[in-house]
Amino acid sequence: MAIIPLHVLLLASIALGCVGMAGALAGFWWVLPVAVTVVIVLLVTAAARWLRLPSAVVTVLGLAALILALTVMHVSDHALLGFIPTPDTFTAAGQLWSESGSFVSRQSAPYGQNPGLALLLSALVGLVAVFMETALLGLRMAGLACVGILALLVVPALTLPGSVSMWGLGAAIIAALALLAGSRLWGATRQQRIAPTPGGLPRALLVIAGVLAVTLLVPTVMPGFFSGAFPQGSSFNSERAAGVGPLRAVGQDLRESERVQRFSYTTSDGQPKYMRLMTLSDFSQSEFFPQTDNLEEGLDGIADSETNPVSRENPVTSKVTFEDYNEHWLPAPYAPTEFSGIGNEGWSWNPRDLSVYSAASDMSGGTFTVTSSAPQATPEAMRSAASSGANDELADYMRLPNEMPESISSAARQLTDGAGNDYDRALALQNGLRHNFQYDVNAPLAQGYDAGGMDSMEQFMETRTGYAGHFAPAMALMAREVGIPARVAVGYLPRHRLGIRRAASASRWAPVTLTRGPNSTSRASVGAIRAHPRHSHHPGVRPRVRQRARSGRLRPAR
Amino acid sequence: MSKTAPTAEARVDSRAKFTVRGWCFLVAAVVCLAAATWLGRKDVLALSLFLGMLPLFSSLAMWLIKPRVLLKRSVDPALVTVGDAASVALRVRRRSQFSSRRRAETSGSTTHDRAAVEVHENVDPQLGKNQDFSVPVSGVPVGYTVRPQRRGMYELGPATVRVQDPFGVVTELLDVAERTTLQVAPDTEDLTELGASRVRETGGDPSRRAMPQPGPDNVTTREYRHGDPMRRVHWAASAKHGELMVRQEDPRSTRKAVLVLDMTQEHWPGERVWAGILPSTEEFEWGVRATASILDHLTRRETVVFALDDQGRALPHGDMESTDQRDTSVSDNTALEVVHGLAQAALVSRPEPDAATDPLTTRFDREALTHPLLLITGKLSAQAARRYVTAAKGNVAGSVIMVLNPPMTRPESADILETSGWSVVLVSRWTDIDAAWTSILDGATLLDPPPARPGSSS
Repeated sequence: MAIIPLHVLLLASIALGCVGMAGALAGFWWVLPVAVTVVIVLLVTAAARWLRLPSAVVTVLGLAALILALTVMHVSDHALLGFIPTPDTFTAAGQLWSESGSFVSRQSAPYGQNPGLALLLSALVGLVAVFMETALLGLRMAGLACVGILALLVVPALTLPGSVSMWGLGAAIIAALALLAGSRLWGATRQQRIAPTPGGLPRALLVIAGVLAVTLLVPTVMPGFFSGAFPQGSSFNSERAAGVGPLRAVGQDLRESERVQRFSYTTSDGQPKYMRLMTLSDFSQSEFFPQTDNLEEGLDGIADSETNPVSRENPVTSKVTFEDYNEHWLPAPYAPTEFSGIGNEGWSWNPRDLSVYSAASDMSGGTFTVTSSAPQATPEAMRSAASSGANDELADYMRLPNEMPESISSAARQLTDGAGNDYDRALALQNGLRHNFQYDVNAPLAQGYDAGGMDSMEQFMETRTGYAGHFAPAMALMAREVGIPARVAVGYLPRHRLGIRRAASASRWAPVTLTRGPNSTSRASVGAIRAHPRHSHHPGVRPRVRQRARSGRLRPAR
Repeated sequence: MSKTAPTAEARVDSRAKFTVRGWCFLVAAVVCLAAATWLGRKDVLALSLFLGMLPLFSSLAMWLIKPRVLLKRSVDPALVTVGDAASVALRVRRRSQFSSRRRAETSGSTTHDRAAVEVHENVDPQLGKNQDFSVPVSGVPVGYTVRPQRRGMYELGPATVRVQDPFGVVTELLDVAERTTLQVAPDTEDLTELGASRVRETGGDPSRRAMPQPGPDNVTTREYRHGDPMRRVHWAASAKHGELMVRQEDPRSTRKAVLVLDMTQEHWPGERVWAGILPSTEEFEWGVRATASILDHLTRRETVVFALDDQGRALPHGDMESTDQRDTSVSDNTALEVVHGLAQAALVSRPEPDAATDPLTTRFDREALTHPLLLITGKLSAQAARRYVTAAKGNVAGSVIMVLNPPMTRPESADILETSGWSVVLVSRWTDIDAAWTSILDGATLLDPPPARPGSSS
């Protein structure tokens, strides 16, 4: 049994397995700690095997080396002499662990740099290394060692909606095949004196090519396999996997056959409201997520008309009671001016769109009251408002991503041809989407362009079939293309019957901003298409033009 | 106890099957497919495709790309005597476009070339047990020894080669039908010196009566061979060469005799026994051993033996197939070859020849073989006995050793031969050959029973 080649083979397979894992991580910050851990573990086990120590001892030494490596690299301040673990070390490691837990639950995949996450990943890959080394050289079962690679792929599988990428899958297959063949080549098999037969190379190449081709191509063309007990994009401890953005989440909710009551509310004027949670304005990422940095701490700023300059005319009070609610954002009608019943701790709000965020997400059973004031604007006022496209403060809402498909920009120009002002242009876009596009919440997933990011928009424009997660960004991007500042709002549709807000009535719509002039005291914004009806028995787009006005100047966010 | 004859070309199934790992992969693929359907995930579907496609593609690859393996078997020596060992060597070479003969001859495997194939060698049960080897592809031979206990012609092999795919999920058995022949010559026994000529002679025989005296002129010598009588040692030549040298036969002083080994199956009733792949009986084996011993004994003692089978053909020399050789005479030079040639002696079924067309008679007449005749045969029928009597009319004397099989009753043919003047020795297969030899002149009945210990035969 050749120890050195087998350990090099293990290192290579783990590296290939990490290619798949890299899909869930943003950047290469994790490569160094993980690599150092694995190399240390494999060096120690190789030396132990070379000294012909018993197999159980080698495994124990590997685990000890792992603990040592983790100590030195992540918690060396809390260890004796920098590398000897003490009880203090373990508490420090525990803190890092829980820190990584909260980081993971707050952030969305792919994950950026975080020391706790680095410790977690190093521990995971190190354990996988020890396991694979034991399986391959100790038990001489190469098939079992391949399970280790599977363990590395679990990370992207549970966090990304697309699960393991093609590259990750291909790399993992090559790693598994290398383990199976290499174990026979270098003698790590249970049967004695088995060596590969002559002429094996052409056969091996044929098998590798065939297996790669089938495994990578067939799932993409095979229909089905997108809904079941635990589909891709699901997660164990929360409703969805960390890499699932709000638009994709809408699709998941809409496809959910089970009806779950999220919250119920009553309003002082007896009318159902659009309960908005968050807005999306950055369309440059592959998966659209709301902005969670640069938020104002505490909720006092919302009540202050200096920091929240919307008009306070015709206030309406809504009392919201949570049932089974797991989001980070508060549902409130636009535009909120005061929140009560939830205190200040742990809340922050976004001055630009007045959404309210909490790092903690479980609000089930809670209740709060929000006072909101809807902007008033008439179509005539909208038409005569000046275009706000050149307004610097709204520049964020004008930004067009580089990856935007040509079909969106050309459709925008085509639909708005002949409209004279922003309001009419917005109306034209809305009608165009309503008349020329189909609603279907299952087809995009089945055909591989489920809503969530920019990737799905091109195919949506081609097939002209999609759901709220497609219509809303399409509207927003087309509006931006013709010079109207726009963003996507995510929330719950009003129902006729007050009180019950069901998950199935989630929808997204794209409010479009029109302003009346750079120095005007009032601005009007037009809420546009409600791209999805309440439930699937009413397919088709039901557009509604909603008008809001916001008074006061918009102050740049701090 | 009869057993079916081993066929000359045993074919072995060449089929591929999945290993344990292969079956595990297939089962896991099915389970994962079910899981993918239940969970609704394409990544689990990809996993099940990987698990399932690996064994399937491997077997496809095995079917499309045959392993390039050539198995060569060699036996050294190709002909042995009963009880001696023969070494069988198996060599494996890649069947490649470029000649790898050079590589095959190098001994020892390099670190690059640690490939080996599993070979299952089928060995004739009479030679030993079936063997399993791992033969390296570098050409280094792997060998085993066989020690045949019975004379005959043995076919070594066939071998089956087990090859595996590089990922260990499929195995395939390839048959290597090439077989190698091992010839086993009978062992000769020492026979008693009979002193003056013991082959019966009557008057008119040109053969000498008295023992020949060593003549000093024109003597050719040869090396001493085990069994040569000491009186034939040529001391002067021995001193010169530094090793024992023996006088070769002087043709003037040689006696002549005719030895006929009956190889007709009908003349040897008895239980079928296999001498390797040759049909035989136990009695025939006794006869072959007796023939070999008598041939060896007589040729050492200045006798030229004309060795024939019952069809008048010469007994084969060496490992040449029995041909219609002109020269049936066997002198002490060629005696060893004829003894070796007896490895091929087999029973052939043929009808009794007519008196008019008897090839034996033809041969006797053609070569004027009137010398004393010794016939070794089994339980003859009356008709066969009469035929021999007719054929041997010209011989000065006739003796027959008849090997009887149970039930040991005196056959009618014995009486027929005796009344014609032959001396008849009736033996069983357990009779000592030497005892039969000494009784040739006078005839005897030496029907020894089987020994008390089971399984032994003389």
